[in-house]
Amino acid sequence: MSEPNAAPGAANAAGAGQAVGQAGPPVVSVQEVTKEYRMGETIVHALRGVSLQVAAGELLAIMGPSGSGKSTLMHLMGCLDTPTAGQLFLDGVEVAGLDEERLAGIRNRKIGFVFQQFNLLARITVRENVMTPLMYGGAGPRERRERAEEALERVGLSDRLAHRPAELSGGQRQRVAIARALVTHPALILADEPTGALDTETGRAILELFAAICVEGKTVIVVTHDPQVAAFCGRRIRLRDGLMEE
Amino acid sequence: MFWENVRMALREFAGNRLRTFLSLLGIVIGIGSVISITTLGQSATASVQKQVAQGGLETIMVFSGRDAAKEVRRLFTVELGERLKSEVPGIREVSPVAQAGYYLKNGQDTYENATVLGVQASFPGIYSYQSSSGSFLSEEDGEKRRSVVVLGAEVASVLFPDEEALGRYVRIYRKGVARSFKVIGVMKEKTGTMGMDFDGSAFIPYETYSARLERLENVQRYAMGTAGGVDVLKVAEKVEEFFTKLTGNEDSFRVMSPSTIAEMFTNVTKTLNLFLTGVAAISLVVGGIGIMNIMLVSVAERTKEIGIRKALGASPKAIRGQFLTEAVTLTLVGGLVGMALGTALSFLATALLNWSFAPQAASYALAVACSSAVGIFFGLYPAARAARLQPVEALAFE
Repeated sequence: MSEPNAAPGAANAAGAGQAVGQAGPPVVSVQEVTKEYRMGETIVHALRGVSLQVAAGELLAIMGPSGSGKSTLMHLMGCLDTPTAGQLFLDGVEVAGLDEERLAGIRNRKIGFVFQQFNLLARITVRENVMTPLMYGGAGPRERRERAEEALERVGLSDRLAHRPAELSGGQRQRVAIARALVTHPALILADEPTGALDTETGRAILELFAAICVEGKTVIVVTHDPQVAAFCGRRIRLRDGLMEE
Repeated sequence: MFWENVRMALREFAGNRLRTFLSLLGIVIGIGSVISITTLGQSATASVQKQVAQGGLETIMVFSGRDAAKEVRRLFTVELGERLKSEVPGIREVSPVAQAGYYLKNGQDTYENATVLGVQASFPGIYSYQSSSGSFLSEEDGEKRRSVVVLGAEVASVLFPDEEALGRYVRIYRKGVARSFKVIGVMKEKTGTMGMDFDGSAFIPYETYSARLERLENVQRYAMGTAGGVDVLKVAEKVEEFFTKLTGNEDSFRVMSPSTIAEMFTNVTKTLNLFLTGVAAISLVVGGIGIMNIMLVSVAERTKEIGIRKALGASPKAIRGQFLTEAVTLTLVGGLVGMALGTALSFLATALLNWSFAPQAASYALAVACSSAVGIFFGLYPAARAARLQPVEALAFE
């Protein structure tokens, strides 16, 4: 169980990701985390003891073939699931033992998700989509509106506020998703194959947007199997059979 | 968040119109019945009271029981009317009444289904019924069993459209019976009440009725007028006592007065209300099950949406709130449609029955309460199921 990169709090990458090195505690700290599933009679060991530290401002790529455990790791870091064993700190908070009600709060305040299929809510407008996390965070209607419009301006979609997701192109939809992820000012953006449904050029633009977000001090973790996407990121880790190999 | 949930729910319904409509039918019928029941019940009571008040509060009727034994029925004599008058205080006039349907004919003009009433001279006094021309039957007409007739207003106008009726003869007939009667009077118009249709009737002496139209073994009905200023209900009780003592059996006669009719009507409305309340309750339960079903379908279909919302930070509580709000919004929409339908229906019914339309604020409050309660009760389980979904599994749902 080797740990080639155990450099807590350090932005040790300085590639195209333009990670800004900052002192202070890591945004994500994964310590000897394991995850097991029961599938009928057999127990699947999705993660067999993974440790990882991600600093503020880092753009990290998690790679690996399907079944390597990269999605599981992302779910754990995203507080969508809890580890079987090990410890997990997000922005300094231990999240491994929290109940669903508290995990929802952590997801709301500290994490922004970007998915391959955008996962926008189809029946509501672009602006309402971006306002949704703020609603769960308890912000008032006026504040929600203002901050949503701000976030949409940040991704260059100020002129699409009242559109429905179906009226937008793939790239635009992913920008809405990024605005939605950014709107709560989370410490961590988790992107699961964010360019998987986009053409190369649009995908590139999305990655550049991530890089710019990192410059502002946010941490972006991209799960991908696309080497070109990974190459864009400042730091890469690779998972295989539930173990990390950097 | 509440209003967002309501808005989202409405958008969800707008996106699934047919399904929403079908799932709401039970609630619509249930709430529609609640509104119709209460409105119609109230209107019916109001109109009966009005009718009773119109119909001479001062009259009492006694019917001989159909099932009474022959010896008992023999006690119902014409002379008993005189005894009633003298023995029961408060009774001013009594007349035996015999009644049957006949054809009336004058030359080419026929009045079908006329009610021929055999009565005594006291009859108009009981009902404050006035002559328009000629005079009513006299005691002598009865004693001498004269073939004379007094016509109700409508009968007179049909049989004698252009000519004077007085002094002319009409034929009263039906299968096997045909008699000629001389018209001695025509009555003024009077609205019918308590089973008495004045304008469509022809009046002949009671004794003549028995002698010439149909042999009467006993009196089937006594009509009584009470003295001014007495309590009719008390007099009706006295009459009841009188007949109970006479026959020794409460079932061998029936006393009817405006109050007993009102009471009977109240009982009928009560029974009807009970029945319709049952219908409402059943359709609300069935409707609620429909709501639960559609909410379960909705939760299953929107598993992905629930996953997304959870990823964005929706707590189980927030998801439960969303789906519960959706269920209640759904049933409230059904409730509103039901209220509109129930109001329209009861308005139509009251218009047709010529009753006063009296919608009740309380019944609308009840309808809103019922539909919300159904939404909460049957929305809880689907909402809890949505709240319990695992984020990872929900997100992976396609």
